Amino acid sequence: MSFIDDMKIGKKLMGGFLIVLLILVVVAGIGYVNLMDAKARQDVLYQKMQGAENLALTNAALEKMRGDIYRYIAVPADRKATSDSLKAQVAIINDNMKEFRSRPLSDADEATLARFDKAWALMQTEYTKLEQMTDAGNTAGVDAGLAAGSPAVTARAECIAAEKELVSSAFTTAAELDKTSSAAAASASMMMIAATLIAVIAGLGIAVYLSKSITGPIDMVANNLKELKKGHLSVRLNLNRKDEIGDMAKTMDTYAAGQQKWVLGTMQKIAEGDLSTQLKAADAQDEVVPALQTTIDSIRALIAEANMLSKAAVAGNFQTRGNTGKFKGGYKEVIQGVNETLDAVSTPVVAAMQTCNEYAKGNFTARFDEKIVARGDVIGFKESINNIGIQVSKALQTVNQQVGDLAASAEEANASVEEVSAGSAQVAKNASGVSVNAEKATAGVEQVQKAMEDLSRTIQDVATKSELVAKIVQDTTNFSKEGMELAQKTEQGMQGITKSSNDVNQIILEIKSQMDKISEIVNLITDLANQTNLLALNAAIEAARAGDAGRGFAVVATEVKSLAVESRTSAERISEMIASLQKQTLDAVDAVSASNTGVKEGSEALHETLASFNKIVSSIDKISQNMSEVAAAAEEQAASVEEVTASVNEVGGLMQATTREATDAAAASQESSAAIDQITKVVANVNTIVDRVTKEVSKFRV
Amino acid sequence: MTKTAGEKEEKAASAGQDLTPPVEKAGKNQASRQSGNLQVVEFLLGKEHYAVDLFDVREVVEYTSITQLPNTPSYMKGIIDLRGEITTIIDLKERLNILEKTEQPIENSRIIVLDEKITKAKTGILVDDVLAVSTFERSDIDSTSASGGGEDAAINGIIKKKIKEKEHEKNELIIWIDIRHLLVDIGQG
Repeated sequence: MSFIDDMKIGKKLMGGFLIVLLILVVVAGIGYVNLMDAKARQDVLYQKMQGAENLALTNAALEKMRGDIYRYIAVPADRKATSDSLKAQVAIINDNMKEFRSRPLSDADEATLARFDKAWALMQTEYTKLEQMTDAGNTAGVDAGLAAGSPAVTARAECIAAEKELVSSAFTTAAELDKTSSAAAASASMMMIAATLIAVIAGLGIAVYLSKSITGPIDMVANNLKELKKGHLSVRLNLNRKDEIGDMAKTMDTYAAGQQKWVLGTMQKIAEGDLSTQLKAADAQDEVVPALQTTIDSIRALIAEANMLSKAAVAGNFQTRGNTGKFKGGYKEVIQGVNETLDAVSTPVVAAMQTCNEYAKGNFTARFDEKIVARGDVIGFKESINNIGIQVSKALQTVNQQVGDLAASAEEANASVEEVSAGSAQVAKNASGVSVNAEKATAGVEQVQKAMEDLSRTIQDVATKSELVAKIVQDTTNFSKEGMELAQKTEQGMQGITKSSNDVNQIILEIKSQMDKISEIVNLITDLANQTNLLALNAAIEAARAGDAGRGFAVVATEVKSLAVESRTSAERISEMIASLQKQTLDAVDAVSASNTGVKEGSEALHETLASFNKIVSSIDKISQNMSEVAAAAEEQAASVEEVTASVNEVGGLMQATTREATDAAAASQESSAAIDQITKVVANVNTIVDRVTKEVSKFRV
Repeated sequence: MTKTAGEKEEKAASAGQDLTPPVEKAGKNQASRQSGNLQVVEFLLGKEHYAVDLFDVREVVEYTSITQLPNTPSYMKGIIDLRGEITTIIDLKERLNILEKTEQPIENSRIIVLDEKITKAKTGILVDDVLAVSTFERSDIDSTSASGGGEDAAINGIIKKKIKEKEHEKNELIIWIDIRHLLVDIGQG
């Protein structure tokens, strides 16, 4: 679609609007055609309706004629009016049929109409005949004429039938038309909707495409302008189109290219130091090129001046200065700066040369001229020159001092060497002392050996005594075993006692149960006595109540009562005795149980005794074991003593070696005395060297 | 007065021996018992000796278990079945307001069954022990000394009983109570 891009924007917009208009016209045309179609059908329908009206009127007239003819025949008085009416009806029918005939008719309708016309003509003739027959009074003829199947009736029926057929035809046509128009209306609305939709879509597509074709490139141009503003001169649009936007883009690209090639290129060359470029102004109004040319010329002159100055400096000529009158502004400042630099460098260099000359002569007190003001690195230079003098002075002073110190040290060394010599003599003396002491130690060792022999004898005694103890221990063990046997026998006796006392206890318990039984019997006796007492009382009462007759019985009763009381008293005494017996029995039981407890305690004590004997036996075993250990230990000691003796012998040997070494040490110390003499000589040499150095150093002024 | 019940009975028994001649005497004086001699049944309530008229006594029986009656005065001990006859038992200690408790168990108590003449229903009185049947001279009875107690005391008099204790003659005091009067009260109550 590049041809659209190549169109001018005005044409493009006009074209878009025209397309939209065209679509609108098409839509309107479709609507119009459909409307016309509908109108045509409406017209046909109208004609049909008119025709139907004509036929209806005709029908009415025919029916009226049918009635009128009878009226004509039956009512002679009104014949004139009736005849007029008939004529009027005929006129109506003719008018209406004429009107109907003038409307568009189908072939079937035409045929029906011909049938009607034929019948109608016959009917008119027959009716006229009937009128005439009526007027003539020919009743029979009239009757025949009106009878069923007569020509008049047949014709009228035919007329009505034909007319009805026509009506029905008209309605059929109308119904068909209605159907057709409904279908047409539906299809027309479908077409309209479709056309409208197509138009809307087409219109939107055109609008979108056109706006894109115009605004897209304009945005690109605007962006390009922004890029140029930022200095991005290498950006190009390269829009290949021939409309206004294309022209604008091309001009912009050309401008950017020119700027990039000439102005930017030249400036880059200047930056790189290439000043050979010669530029030509585009026209009298060109401001860019002359400005560039002036820049190049100024820089060229500046470089020439700088070259001249640097060559002079390289040649050692510090007096050459640049011509500041040739330059303006910043360039003038540059040349001035170079001049000042030369001034600042040459002055200190001259002063430094003078100072160094003084140093060369040995005068290290010389210093940099204080009148020259130093700045920056020159301060360091000046200080370095001065420092050379200061440091060398200091070093020479230090050398002086060190030489003095060396001399003093040499003297000290001398003194020390003498001391060493004395010490060496002392060593020799001490070595002989060591020799004497070693001999004494040898004598001590011999004494130790003697003591060791004594110890060995003592250990032998211990072993012998240990054996004796072992024998005694064996005897003790035998005694313990005897004691144990005795204790076991005693325990058996104790068990016999326990058994006997248990038997006693049993017997006493039996006695106690017997006592209890006696007690029960005594209680029974007491009870009987009480009963007897009661009986005696009652007998006494009865006797008293019986008066004199009962007097003898009363005496008996009293006797019985006293017997009862006596037997009760006796029973109570027995009871008391038994109680005391029971108490004693209980005491006996207690005693027996006490003796049982004693026996038990004795038994326990025996057990403890047995346990003690066991412990004694085990203790004796332990003692025996310990004695064996003691014997073993004594043997070990004997062995150890032998080892110690051997060691002491070794010590004796060592002592003799010590004596030898002490003699050697005395010899060595004599040798060292000789070496010390050598050292004394070396120190004397050092003193001589120091004297010489001192002399040399004093030549410097420091 | 720390004598045991046994010793008391012993003494009572010796007293009984002593009383044998008076019983014989009483036999002689049977006709004139109203005027001359008094025959009584001696019994114990707590530590004191009491006596009732012998002719008011039917018999003496041993303690049997007593069926208590509800809603009766506290001295109405209850009823027992005595050989097929229901006998009402009166606790005489309760009736006479003797608060002293007896040491002996209640099974050792005695019931004195009274003569039917003096009571409507057959009645017995519960006492700690019955000691003896004795006959006393009227001269041994002091009727006036106990009158201070008034009608309610129901004491007919105090009988002085001579007893020998370690060769010394001594009077023992027996309270002679009017059992009829007491039972009339019960009947009215």
